[in-house]
Amino acid sequence: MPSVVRARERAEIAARNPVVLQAESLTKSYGQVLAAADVSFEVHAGSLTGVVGPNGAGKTTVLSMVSGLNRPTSGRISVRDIDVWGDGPAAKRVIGSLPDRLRLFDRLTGGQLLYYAGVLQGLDQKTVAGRAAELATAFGLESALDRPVSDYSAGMQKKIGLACSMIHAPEVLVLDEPYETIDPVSASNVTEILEKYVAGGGSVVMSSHSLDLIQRICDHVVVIVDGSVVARGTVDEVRDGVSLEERFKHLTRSDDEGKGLEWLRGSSDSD
Amino acid sequence: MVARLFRLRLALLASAFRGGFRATMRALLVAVVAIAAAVGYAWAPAWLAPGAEDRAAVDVFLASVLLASIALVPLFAHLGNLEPRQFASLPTTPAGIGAAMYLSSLLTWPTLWLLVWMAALYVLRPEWRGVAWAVAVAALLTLLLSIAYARVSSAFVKLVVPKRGLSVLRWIGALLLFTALPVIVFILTEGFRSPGSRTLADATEVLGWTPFGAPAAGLALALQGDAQGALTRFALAAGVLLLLLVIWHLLVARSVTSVERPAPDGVTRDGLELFDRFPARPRDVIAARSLTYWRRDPRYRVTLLAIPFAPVVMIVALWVAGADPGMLALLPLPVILLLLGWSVHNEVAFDSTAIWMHVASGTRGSHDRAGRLAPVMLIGLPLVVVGSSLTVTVVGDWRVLPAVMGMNLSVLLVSAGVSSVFSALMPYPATRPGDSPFHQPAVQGSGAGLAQTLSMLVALLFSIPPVLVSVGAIGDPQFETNAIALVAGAAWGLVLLWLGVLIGGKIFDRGAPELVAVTQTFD
Repeated sequence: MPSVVRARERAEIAARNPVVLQAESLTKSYGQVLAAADVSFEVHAGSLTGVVGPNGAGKTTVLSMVSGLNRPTSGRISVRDIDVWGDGPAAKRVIGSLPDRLRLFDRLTGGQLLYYAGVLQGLDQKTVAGRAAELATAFGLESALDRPVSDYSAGMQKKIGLACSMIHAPEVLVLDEPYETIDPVSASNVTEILEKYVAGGGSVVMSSHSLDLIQRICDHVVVIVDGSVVARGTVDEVRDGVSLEERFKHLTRSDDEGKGLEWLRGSSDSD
Repeated sequence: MVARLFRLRLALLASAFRGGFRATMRALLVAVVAIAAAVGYAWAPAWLAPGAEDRAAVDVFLASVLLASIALVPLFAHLGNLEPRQFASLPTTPAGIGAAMYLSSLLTWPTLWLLVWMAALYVLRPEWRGVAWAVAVAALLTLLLSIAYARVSSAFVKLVVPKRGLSVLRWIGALLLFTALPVIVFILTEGFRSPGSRTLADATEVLGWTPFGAPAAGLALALQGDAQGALTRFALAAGVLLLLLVIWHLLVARSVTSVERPAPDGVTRDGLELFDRFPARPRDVIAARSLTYWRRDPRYRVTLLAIPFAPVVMIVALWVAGADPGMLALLPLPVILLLLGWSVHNEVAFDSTAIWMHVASGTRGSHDRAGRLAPVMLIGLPLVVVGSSLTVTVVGDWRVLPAVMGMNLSVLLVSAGVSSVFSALMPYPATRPGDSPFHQPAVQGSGAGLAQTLSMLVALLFSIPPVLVSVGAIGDPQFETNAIALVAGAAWGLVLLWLGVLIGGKIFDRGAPELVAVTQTFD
């Protein structure tokens, strides 16, 4: 069964599940610039929710506010009824996060990094050792565990980061661009892991600018444009009969983009 | 069995000189240095303590130190000894293995070194010729005892302590060594400084009754004409030797009939280097990671290399200005320790790579603070102990050691505590991880000067009270004032370090997301 079919089926089930993550009017302003304005959405248990938007729309800002790395100017975010910005340590036990473009402790080896992440989350040594080995196998990193993370390729760094975010068996995964730089074979492997995780009752919020990917594997979607939510719901509700990409173009009013530029014809002006 | 093991030992000795020209040369060089050290160890008392009585006391003291280290070092350092267990499958009895291993230990480098030392002693002490019988007995007992000590200690450790506990043992050993060193230096310098002093005589009197000093003490007594006393000490040593041989026999028997307990399932932390040696708790893994980074990141090495230069410049300047050289000796160590503690005042920015990981996992600020101090403490604390004893040796008055130690300890702890607060409070752009240590940070300005000046000023300010107390005690070298200075310095330092970690931790807890944001803009 292709993942898109599983995603459609999951949408109906997940929509009936209780809400595990709730963002209420999250706002973040940097001086005059409004990076996120009144962002509200919710994630149900067992759901794979995608956050999409054009470059610079504020996806990273929103996700880092959700995972407790970026303090919102106003608004509230709660996971399993724990306020992330009220009781951080408790909430962070429930959340696993993978920020985009932040460096890992890359002078540690992969094995050390996994162990480090697990112990920081309060796991005991035996549990960490077992889970680290299993995660490494699942992500195909067994042979790289003894090498420093700084020697990893970008895709492998992404994968070890993903493994670190999962080691404490969180209830919600907040992943910023988890598929970026990962090769197609590994990507389907990651999809498999994430689907297994949500089938077990976990929830995932992930951002991506690949609409195709979101449409294929996510059941719910939140569309953010210029820091505000312009559409949210199950993937089928949002795309409304057309492909997500068509719908997205309409929502972002980017139909006109790419016009102009008539001078860009591929023939040099100097002729 | 005995002959076979002797052949094995010979082959092991010869193997040091195999492996190409360079390896052979290196082995030869090491051998020459070792022989020189053995002769030097025998010759030093004659040079340092010209009086016959003092020299005899120093001889007993040094012999005791040597035997004690032969007994204790194998407990802490995992040496490449042969093990009884390796011969368990051979067709012989445990008693045979034990006897063969004991006797063949004659052909090991440490025993050969011991023989060189004893030969040098005999040559350098003409007065011993008159009591040849005592010399022979003492030498034989020393030799047999040292082999017995080494065998029993290493077998005991291998049998009793699991592999994973060995690193902990090594730490304890290093700590013991660091504490024993100043004591040894005291007693010796006291002996050399004031001929006929009681300290050394008392120490050797006590050591003579221990199984470490007994053979040498017997010889010294025989030299004085006290045959009765000499025989008592020799008897004591022989008794201990018998006891050790019995223990050795039992250890061998136990060792060849038991196997090592296999590691429990799932606890396979091997291959995580330093992380294997620290408990699995947030503060300790942060410490292990910090230490790993100090080892792998060239930026830290440059900092460490730069620190000793500051006091050199200061000393030269003050010396030219005509300061008292004895007092100048007190200066370098506190300055080095202050700089060492202060060097981590921008640690959060310096080590910004993945502070988000601490924040995203809800790590407590105080754990982050305390863990990051581990490298400074691991370098600083031994430096305090060893450096303080060196300082008082140069100053020339060991009575002020407690005050000097109190001062140095407080300076280290205070500056580390202040750094803990400042690295969370005022991070400023630093050379990025992975860049060359001499690279300028990408973002300039913004508070670097202020944070550096302020943190240094605060560290100096809080160092003043314990330093004043210690300076007072150094001026008045009574035992009470010195003891008070040590206790006061340590207590003041500990309280401030604790406060620094606590306050720094609170700042970290409250402003963690902002710290992530600030350090990211530096990147």
